[in-house]
Amino acid sequence: MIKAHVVNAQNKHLYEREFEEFLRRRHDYYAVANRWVPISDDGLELDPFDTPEATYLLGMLEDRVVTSARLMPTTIPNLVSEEFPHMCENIGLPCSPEWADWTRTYVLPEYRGVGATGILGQMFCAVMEYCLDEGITHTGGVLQQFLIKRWLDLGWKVIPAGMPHILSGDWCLVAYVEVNEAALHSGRVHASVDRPLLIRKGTQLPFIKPSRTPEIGAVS
Amino acid sequence: MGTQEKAVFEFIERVDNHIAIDDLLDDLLQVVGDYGIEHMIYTGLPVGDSSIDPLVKTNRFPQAWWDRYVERDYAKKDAVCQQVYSTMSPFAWHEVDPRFSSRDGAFQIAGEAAEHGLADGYIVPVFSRDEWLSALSFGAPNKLKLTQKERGALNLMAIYTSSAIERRQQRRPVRGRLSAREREVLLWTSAGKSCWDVSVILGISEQTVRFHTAQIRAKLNAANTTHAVARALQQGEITLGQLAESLGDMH
Repeated sequence: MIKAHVVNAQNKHLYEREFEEFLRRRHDYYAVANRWVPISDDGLELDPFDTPEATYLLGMLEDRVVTSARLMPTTIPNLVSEEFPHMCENIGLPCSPEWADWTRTYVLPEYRGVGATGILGQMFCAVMEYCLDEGITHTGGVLQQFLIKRWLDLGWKVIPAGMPHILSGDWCLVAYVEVNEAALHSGRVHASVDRPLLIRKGTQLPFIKPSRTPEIGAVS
Repeated sequence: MGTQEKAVFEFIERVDNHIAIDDLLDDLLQVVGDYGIEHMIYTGLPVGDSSIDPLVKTNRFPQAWWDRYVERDYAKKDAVCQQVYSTMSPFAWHEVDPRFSSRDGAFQIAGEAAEHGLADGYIVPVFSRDEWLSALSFGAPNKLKLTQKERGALNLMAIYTSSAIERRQQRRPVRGRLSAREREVLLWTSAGKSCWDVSVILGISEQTVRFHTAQIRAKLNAANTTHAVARALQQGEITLGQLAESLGDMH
């Protein structure tokens, strides 16, 4: 079973080696082997959304990162808002502190098995656990359409933001899952996860920033 | 947003409200009627010599056609079915790759299907909840002219429907699951080990191994070891990863 470490701008230094090794492996896969993204000079694969606002879940087996997810608020530029806003015709472009943009769920190739009890199912449970902890109500983003079946199969309520389109040869869509206790429970049952998976080390940052000034009367 | 798209998103909101699978399918066929579709089936795909019939989850194809399809084991030659083994991309039946449609018997099967009111269709391959290669196939009496948007809509409805069907069927009482020991025996047997080999490996008597093997077949309703392995994979009792690992141990 993986342990999902919560990594943010404040505790990133605790995970320097693990994080870099993981980015390198991901680069090898996406850029070198499959040519999906340009090869970078430093051999690490990053995109414009790898900013201090991003929260990462690093799914580790012993001291090795085998899977990941990246979450960021939909209130700041994110992959959906910048690249795929036209794919949200059903619900409109999400922009709310409680809606998290979820990207880059990746599993190292040698850990990709089939079966709901696999690493991917565990990572899905870790994301649901994190979102529930942080008061996030919905999370999702652009993904290949077959992945929403994995979400639905976990007993999750999945909201399609729009119709699927073909993106670089694959049918993809923007979709969000509802975050709640029932989803965490059914996800754990189906993925055979019998315990919480999150590990928090060092300084933690709340995903939803407390508003500095009260909304009411702020204008007057 | 057009009325056709609106109808699709409204259908998706209704999917989980239908308690009975038949109500869900009635609703689906009503919505996809706009695209010229009249029939649907959701089924797993057979491996090796096994029949497709036990893998069917729901079926709204014309009965006479399906009886013929099963009886004559058409899944092995049907070009549409065969193409799903090589791609997870949805496609209209008339677009099937000539690699498959030029094979023996494929042309005749397509012709017979048309005579039964299935001149064309659109198939969406999916993995079932227990990771078995499956497909939801829509059938139509006339050739389909689907836009990209309509294809996206059919993909979406197929995915929501297939998952809902499986989650509903899951609630039915299931046969007993395999015990950890039975799973172990099955994996060793699938790696070509004899009952005697397994008894030595696991440090139990050969008689006990035979007992476990019989239990496994009974629980999985399987005729032989190969069948039991296929069923165990299909039902998520063992994973392909475990199987590969046990096969790897032979070298």
